[in-house]
Amino acid sequence: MKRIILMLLAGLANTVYADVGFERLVNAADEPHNWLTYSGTYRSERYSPLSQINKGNVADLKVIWAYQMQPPSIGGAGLVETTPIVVDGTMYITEPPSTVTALDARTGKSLWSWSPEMDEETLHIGFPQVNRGVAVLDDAIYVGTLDAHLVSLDAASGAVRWDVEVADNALNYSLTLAPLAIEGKIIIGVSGAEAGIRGFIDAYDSATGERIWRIYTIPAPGEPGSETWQGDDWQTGGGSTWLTGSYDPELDLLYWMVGNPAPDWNGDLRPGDNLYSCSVLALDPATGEMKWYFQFTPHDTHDWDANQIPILLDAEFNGEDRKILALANRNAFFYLLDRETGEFLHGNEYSKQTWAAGLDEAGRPIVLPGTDPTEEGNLVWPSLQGATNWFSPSYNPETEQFFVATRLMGAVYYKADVEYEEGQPFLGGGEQALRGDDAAGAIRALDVMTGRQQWEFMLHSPPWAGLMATAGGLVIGGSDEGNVFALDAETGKPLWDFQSGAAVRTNPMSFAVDGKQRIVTTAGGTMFVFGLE
Amino acid sequence: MDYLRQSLTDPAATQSQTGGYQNYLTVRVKSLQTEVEGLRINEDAFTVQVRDVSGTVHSFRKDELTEFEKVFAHSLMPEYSAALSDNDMDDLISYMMSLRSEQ
Repeated sequence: MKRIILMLLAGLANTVYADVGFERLVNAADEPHNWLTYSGTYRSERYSPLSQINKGNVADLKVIWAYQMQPPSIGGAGLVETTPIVVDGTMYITEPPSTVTALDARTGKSLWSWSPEMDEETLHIGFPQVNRGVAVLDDAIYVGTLDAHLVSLDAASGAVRWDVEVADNALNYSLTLAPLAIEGKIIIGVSGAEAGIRGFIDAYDSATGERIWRIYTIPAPGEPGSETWQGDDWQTGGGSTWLTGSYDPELDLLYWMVGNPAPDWNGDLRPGDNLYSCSVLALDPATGEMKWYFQFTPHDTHDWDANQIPILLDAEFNGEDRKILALANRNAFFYLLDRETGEFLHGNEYSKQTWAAGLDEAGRPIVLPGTDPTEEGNLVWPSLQGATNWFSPSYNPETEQFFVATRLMGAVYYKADVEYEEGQPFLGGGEQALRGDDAAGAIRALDVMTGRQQWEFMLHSPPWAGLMATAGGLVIGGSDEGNVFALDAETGKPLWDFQSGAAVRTNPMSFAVDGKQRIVTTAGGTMFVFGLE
Repeated sequence: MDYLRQSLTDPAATQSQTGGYQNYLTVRVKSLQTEVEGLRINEDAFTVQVRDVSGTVHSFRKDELTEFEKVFAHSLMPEYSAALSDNDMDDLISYMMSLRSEQ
């Protein structure tokens, strides 16, 4: 408790601008009054060690301040999926499509804002005009833009330091994820598989913007994995990398997730396992060299990409200390992998699915016949939006509980012919999801070592919002009907809820300023900051 | 015309049998203080709003309910097949069709 109080007092500092060296990012868990990476730490636990707000007082939670985002600068409203970064009293957020705003974390007053000049015709086929946040390293802020630029901004003023074009937006390349900052490098992935891009992961010099390496997620002929493609299919094979990865500084390995193959629903047009789609890659951050991979859904035909957050944890598994990567996949299975080797340790169904009889000893799904999309339509669980999606799970290392917002929804999947055309949808079918009272959502707590469900809290509809566990014994979440809520992490019982008036489509986070803990989430275009006083 | 006739003689037939989008879903809710049957106006994880046949709107928190039932394939509108003769039914449907606005 004494340690936590000291951490809260650390948040008393006057507003200063970022000076976040790599070592601070490595040790982010030691300063929980800040939130220094997209998922809180390199382990991506989305867990706050703050406990000032807890089971005993969360019922008194109220809005301290709110920030209404500015209308997007190009065509139509974008969804708000940002996770704020908080550094010593300053909050950095993104607003759709690609604006960065610095706020006084104490009051919500704007300090500076930067927006890129972007063409009205900027492509975003297959995804909304979203941005999930920034990265901070040293005294700079890094943001990816909808038109596929990576930009470095001065943390104090918002002035542009460098701006590089990562890829050609005319082919539907786009950056919607929060970058990941590691020592001297900014790691970025791309969106765009719904128009047949060839996905990749890049590393850029944080000081100059010079590209250091690129690794494609779809191998060219002759490269390892190319035997899982035929002909020229690899050139338009998809494999987007649109969600922030995790990093283990001790192993010095990056973990990055890869999306669906293209075209999405017509697997006849791309026979084979289609590596490295729907996989997690372990990469050497110095060179981009792939150390291992694990493919969750070989030859995916349902758009169950693997762009979910990989959570890193150390625990005893079958009597042996292991460095583990835990992931609740869009395909409705929960996985534990050895993150040193990629060895499959455990997998189990955590949400309704009708496409696989289970996983074999190597973790490969045992696909049931007749579950691929057809021209007439084929009803399968989960829907293409998955049993979960980009929104974050959370892990409490103290209780070894894994929390996941689950979508209980099936869909009728269709297959259709399609030919690739630059900058056009490359889908090969579609879906008709079961909606209304035929679908629902649930917040589920899993025992991380077994995947066994401990409790669930039902939601009226499938959620699009992530979760955050706290040392106060809480799980914070949101619903598509505008509820922001706190659950008892032990039982799933609701302890507090707030009707925000708009769908919650983002991840919660927590920080402290003036010694007071705050909990943050966004609903519609308004970010709410909650506290006790 | 067939839809109008069916709506008068068997109004539940146009309601979804299992789920899907429910514009006119009947719900029955019971708390320690009251019991209401009506149309669900809105619902989220914590609350439900219900309009009863008198038009009165009731708002409940779910944790205060002792019962909450969604009644699929059911309509609060009464069946008129027994109340109207065949001729009266035809006249009523003809009148209702005459109310169609010109598009």
